[in-house]
Amino acid sequence: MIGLFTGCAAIALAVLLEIALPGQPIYQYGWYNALLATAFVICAVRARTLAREGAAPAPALLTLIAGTAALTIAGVANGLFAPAPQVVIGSPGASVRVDDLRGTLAFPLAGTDPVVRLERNGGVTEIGAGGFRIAAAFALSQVPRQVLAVDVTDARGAHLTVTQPNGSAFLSPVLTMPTQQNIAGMLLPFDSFAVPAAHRVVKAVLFDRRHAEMLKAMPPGGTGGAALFSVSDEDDRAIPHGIGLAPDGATIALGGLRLKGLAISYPAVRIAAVPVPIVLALGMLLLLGGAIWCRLRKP
Amino acid sequence: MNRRWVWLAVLFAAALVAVVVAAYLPSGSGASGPAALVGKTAPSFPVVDLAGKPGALADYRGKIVVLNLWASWCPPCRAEMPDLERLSRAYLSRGVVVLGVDQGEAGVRARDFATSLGITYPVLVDDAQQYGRVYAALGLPTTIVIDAKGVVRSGFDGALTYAQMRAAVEPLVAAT
Repeated sequence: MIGLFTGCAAIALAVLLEIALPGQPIYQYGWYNALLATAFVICAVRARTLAREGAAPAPALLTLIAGTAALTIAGVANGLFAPAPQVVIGSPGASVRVDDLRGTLAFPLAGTDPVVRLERNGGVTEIGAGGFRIAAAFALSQVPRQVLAVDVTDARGAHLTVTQPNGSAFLSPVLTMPTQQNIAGMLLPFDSFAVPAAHRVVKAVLFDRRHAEMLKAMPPGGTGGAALFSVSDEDDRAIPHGIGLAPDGATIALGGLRLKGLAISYPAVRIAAVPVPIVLALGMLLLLGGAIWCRLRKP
Repeated sequence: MNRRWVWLAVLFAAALVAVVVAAYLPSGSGASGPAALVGKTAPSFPVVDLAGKPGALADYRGKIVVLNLWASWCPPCRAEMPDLERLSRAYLSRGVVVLGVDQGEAGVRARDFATSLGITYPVLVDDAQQYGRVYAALGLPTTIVIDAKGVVRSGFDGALTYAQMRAAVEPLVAAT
């Protein structure tokens, strides 16, 4: 009987770990899920033997095994059917539809309380910094990232519209830097935006403080990071004097534009599948109920 | 264990598998862009009007608002604005306000452009592009129709014809 309890508890522990440490690659390995399934089959066979021997009431053992089955199915399904973890990057103030969650993530405005709100089924779940929240069969947690808020004016200082035709929000002046660019062996956050009124496209590479200090071309006045801007026309032809490095928060004149970039920390949301909570709860209830029943009642 | 228990166990397992697999199936894509805001309270941000005075969408609460996001460099915006002006004149007395919100430009540029087109409806200047971001503009122009209670009733990406504008506001006007 102890062996059966130990086996069932081990399965329960393994599946509960998938909620405590969501999104680990091991959960999707074939051998891991085969191991879970095999452990369950061994427990089921052992329970049948014990029932025949009269070691515990058959309904109690059946309850125990039903709970273990629910946990195993929840764990194996999480490994085999759940989507891979993803990081959703949104612009400040933007709402991003996430089909896996069947809801929308509403990102906060820059400079406000960094809480991302998940809106689904008429309810709201707030995802703050630290910890994680469970929604449906997914764990959601914040991932802080460096983004670049840009401000563009013309030579006379008149403000110009910034657009991101390929970004997560068309009209956002905050670049979420979703890709990386290899410069001199350094992998650096990269993004681009357009200035339609000036017929310009600007590429931006963000250097953090450490990388900026490695740059011999760093202009004076920089105390933090820096942004490398490259200005081209709408056909992606380079503009003379269109490349320059601007210290964080400083304005630089390039290709007929005056550009300012300010690096800010901004949350993205990591979404990782977990075993379906309702099945998990049902499984735990049956498992514990079955175990107590086995101990309390003799056949 | 008799046959009945075996069948019950199979049914139990099948039901669990169905539940867990269904939990991971993504939903079909919902509405995107400004249409995704339908049914939600329309966000408002304090900005300035063409005269540099404070203004915001919230100032028009109690009216049906046709919120039009535009910029002077946007040819479809220019093409659409005469129809918005016509709509404003036709429906002003029926509780409809057309509200233009320039995106990302200097006030003087927005004012010169609006004046050149003879625009009389109110225009706000949102140089931080807050309205464009929050209303999920996929491009310019973007038009959002908001009822008198401040709830988004429809959202459109791209220029609208006069007939489309009328079709969007008529049901709200009829309901008031």
